[in-house]
Amino acid sequence: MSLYIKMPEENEPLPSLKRARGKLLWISSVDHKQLGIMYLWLALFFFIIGGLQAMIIRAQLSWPENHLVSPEMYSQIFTMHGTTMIFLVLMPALIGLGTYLIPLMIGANDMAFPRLNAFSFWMTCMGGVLLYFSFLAGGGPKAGWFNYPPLSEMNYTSTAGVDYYLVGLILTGIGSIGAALNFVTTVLCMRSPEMKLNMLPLFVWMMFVNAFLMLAAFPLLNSGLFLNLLDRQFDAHFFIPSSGGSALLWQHFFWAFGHPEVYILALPAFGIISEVIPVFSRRPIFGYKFVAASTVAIALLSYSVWAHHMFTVGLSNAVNSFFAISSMLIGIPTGLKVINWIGTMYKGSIRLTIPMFFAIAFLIDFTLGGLSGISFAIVPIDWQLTDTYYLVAHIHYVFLGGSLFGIFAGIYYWFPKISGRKLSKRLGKWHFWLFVIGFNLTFFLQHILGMIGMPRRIYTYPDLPYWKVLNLFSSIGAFFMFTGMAVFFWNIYTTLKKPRTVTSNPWNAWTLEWAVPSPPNLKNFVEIPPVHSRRPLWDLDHPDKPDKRLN
Amino acid sequence: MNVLNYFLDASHWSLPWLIGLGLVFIGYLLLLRTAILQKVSFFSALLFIYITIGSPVSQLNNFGLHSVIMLQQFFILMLVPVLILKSLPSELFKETRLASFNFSKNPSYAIVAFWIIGAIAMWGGHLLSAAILSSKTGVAICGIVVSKGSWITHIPGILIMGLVLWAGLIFSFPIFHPDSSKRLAPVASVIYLFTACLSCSLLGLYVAFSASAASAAEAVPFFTTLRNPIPLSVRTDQEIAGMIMWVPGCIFYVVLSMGILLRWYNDPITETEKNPETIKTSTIPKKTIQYGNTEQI
Repeated sequence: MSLYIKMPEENEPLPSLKRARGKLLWISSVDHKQLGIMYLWLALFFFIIGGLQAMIIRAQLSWPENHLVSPEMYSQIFTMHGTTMIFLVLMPALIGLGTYLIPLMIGANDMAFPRLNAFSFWMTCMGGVLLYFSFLAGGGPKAGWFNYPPLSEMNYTSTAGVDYYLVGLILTGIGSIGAALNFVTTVLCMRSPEMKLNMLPLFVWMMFVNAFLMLAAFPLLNSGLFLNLLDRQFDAHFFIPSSGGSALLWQHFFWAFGHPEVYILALPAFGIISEVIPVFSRRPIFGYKFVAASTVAIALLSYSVWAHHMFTVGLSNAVNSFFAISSMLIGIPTGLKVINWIGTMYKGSIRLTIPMFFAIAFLIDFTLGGLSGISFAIVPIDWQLTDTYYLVAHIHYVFLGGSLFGIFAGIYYWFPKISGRKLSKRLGKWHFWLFVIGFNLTFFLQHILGMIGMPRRIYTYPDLPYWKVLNLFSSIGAFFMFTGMAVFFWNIYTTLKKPRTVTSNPWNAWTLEWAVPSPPNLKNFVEIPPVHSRRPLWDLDHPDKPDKRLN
Repeated sequence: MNVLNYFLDASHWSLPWLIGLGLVFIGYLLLLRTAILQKVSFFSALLFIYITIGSPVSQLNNFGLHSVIMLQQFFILMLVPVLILKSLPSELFKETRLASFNFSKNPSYAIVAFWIIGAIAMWGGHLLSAAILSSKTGVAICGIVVSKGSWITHIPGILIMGLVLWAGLIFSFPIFHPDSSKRLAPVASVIYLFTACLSCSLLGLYVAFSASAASAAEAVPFFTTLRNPIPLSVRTDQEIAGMIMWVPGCIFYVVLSMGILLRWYNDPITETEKNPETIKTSTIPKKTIQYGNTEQI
C-alpha cells in the first residue's frame, strides 16, 4: 500500500500555458507557478526602471551645484524611485515568490483561489502601468513616495501625477489584499493533510503571518489614498488644514500602513533566509519555535510603533516616549531571529553557494539597518537626523540589505526549481561582490553625510566640506551596483538559453517543493510524500535518523 | 508634598487591605495544594490587587489622575485575572458550571460571548471611570463632561473594580482554563488575544489622541496644581492614560501570545493525544519512492 496521499483530480481544467499554446494564455493563465513567474518578471522590469531612476539621482548628486536634470524632473524621479521600488519591485517580487512556492511547499496543487490570484497580479500590473502613464499625462507625481499633504493637494501640485499615484497605488493595494487573502486561505485549507500548522516551512509560516499584516495594513493605505483623491477631485478637505482638515491625519493613515509595510517587506525575506541558511549549513534551523513565534511578535508589535515616523510633527513628549519604548521593543524579536540564524550556521557544514553569500550579506547589512533603526527610536536623535541622509541610508539598509538581499538569495536558491537550470556561480559571484561592495559604499557613506548635516530630498547642494567627496564615492558605489545588476541580468539571460539539466533536488534541501521535478509540472503533486516532521525530504533520505515526529 | 514623601507616608498605605489580602493568601496556602509557581502567581495577583486598591497609587485617583485609573484597569482587567487563573488548581473547577465549557471543541458562541464581556469591561469600565473622574474634578475627560455631584460619583469604586476583575476572569478563561485540555486551540488563542489587542489599541488611540482635542486651557500649568504630588497637565495625563492602554496593553497580549505559541511548538503531539485515532502507525518509507509526477506536459 502506498504511503503517499493521492491528489484528487480537478473538476474543470483551468487555463495555463502548460495546458496549451497561445499568447492569450499569458493573460488568462491562473496557474500559480506561471503567475509567480510573471510577478517576478514584473518586479525585474520595474527594477530596471527604478534602478535607472536611482542612477539619475546619484548622477545628479555626485557633484555640488549640479544641474544634470531640472528640479522639477528630480522631484518626479525621486518620488517614482521610492514608489516603484517599494510597490512595484519588492512587493511583487515577494508576493511572486510566495505565489510560486507556497502551494509547492505545503503539498498543494494550486492556490485556493486561482482566479483571484490572476486578478491580484493584473491589478498590481495595472497599478504600475497607471503610475507610469502619468509621465504621458502631464508629469509624474512629485510629492515624495509618502505623498504628504498639503504638498500633494491640488493647491500645491496641480498636475495629474499625484492623481495617477493615488489611483495606481489603490490598484496595487487591491492586488496585494487579494494575494494576502489567497495566501491565508491556501495555507489554512490546501496544505497536505499530514502537515499541521506548526510544521509549516518557515518561509510559508512567515508569508502566512505576513498575509495578515497585509490584510490589516493595505486597507489603511487605500483609505488614505481615497480620501486624498476625494480632496483633489471633489474638493473635499480631509487633509487641508486651511479649511478644517488635518495634514497629520494623512501621516497617521500613511504610517499606520507604512511601518507594518516595512515588516511586510522584511518578513518574507526572513522566511527565505530561514530556508537558505539551514540548507547550506546542513543543519536544521536553530530554535524553530523562536524564529516562528518572534514573527508573530513582530507582526503584532508593528502596529504599535508607527508614530515613531512622526516624532517631529509635534506629538507630545508623553506620546513620543511610549512610541520610543515600543519601537525599541520590536528590535528584540528581530534580534532574536538574527541570533537563531547565526546559531544555525554555528558548527554547521557551510556550503558557500550564491544564495548563502547573499544570506550572510543579509545578516550583516540588515543588522546594520536594524541598529540605525534603533537609533531612530531615540527621540532626540530622530529629531536631529530624520530629515538627513542618515535616514536615506537606514531605509536602504533595511530594504536593500534586508529585503532585496533576501530576494536575491531566494532567486538564486529557487531558480533551479523554477526554471530547471542553475544560475552561473561565477557570474553570481561577480553580481554578489559588485552589488554588495557598491551597496555598502553608496549607503554607508550616507550615514556620515546625514550626520554632518546633508538634508534628504534635496535637488542639489553647496560645496561644503566633505559633502562633495562623500557624494562622489556614494555615486561610484551606485555604479558598482548598476554593473552588478547588469551581470545578474546577463546571468539570467544566458542561463535561460541553456537546456534544462537540474534534478528535482539539486541542493539536497528538505522541504516539499524539492520533491517535484524542476520545473514542476502543471499538476504539482500526483502524490504527496509522507510528512511527519518539518523536514520531510530529510526523513525520506535518512530513514535511520529521521527528525522528531510531529504528527 | 513631593512624590517621594507621598509614597513614604504610611497613611497612604492601607492596612486593612494588606491584612485582608494577607489572610486570603494564607487561606490559599492552607486550603489548596498547588505548585510553587502557582503560589508565586497567586501572590503576584494579590500584590497587584493591593497596588490597585490599597497602595498610594490607588489614592492618586483622588487627585484626578486619569492615567492612574488606566493603570488600575490594566492591572485588574488584564494582568490579575491571568495570574489568578494560572494559580488555581483544575480540581477547583470540576464541579462548577464554568468547567463544563470545553473551548478546545470550539463552541464559538461562548468564545465570542466571553470575548465581548472582556471588551465591554475594557471600554465600559474606562468610560464609567472617566465620567466619575470628570464629575469629581470638573474637567473634561476624553470628551466626557459630567456635572459635579452627579449620581455617578456615588457608585463605589470598589464595585467597578470588582466587576472589571470578574469580566477579566471571564475573558481570560478560554485561554487559561485551569484544565489545559479544555483551553482554546493555540492559533485560535492568538487570534482571540490579537483581537483584544486591537480593542485595547483602539481605546488607547481614542484616549491618547482625544487629548489633543481637549481645551487648550486644560494644558496650562494651572491645572497641574490640582494634581500634586504628580504634577501633570490634563492633556499629558490623558495622553499617558491612552498610551498605557495602547502600548503596555498590547505588549501584554503579545507576550501572552508568544507564550502560547512557544508552548504549541514545543508540544507538537497535543492534537494526536486529543484524537488518538489520528495517530499514524506507518513508518518512514525507504528512499525508493519516485517523487512527484515525472511526466512533463
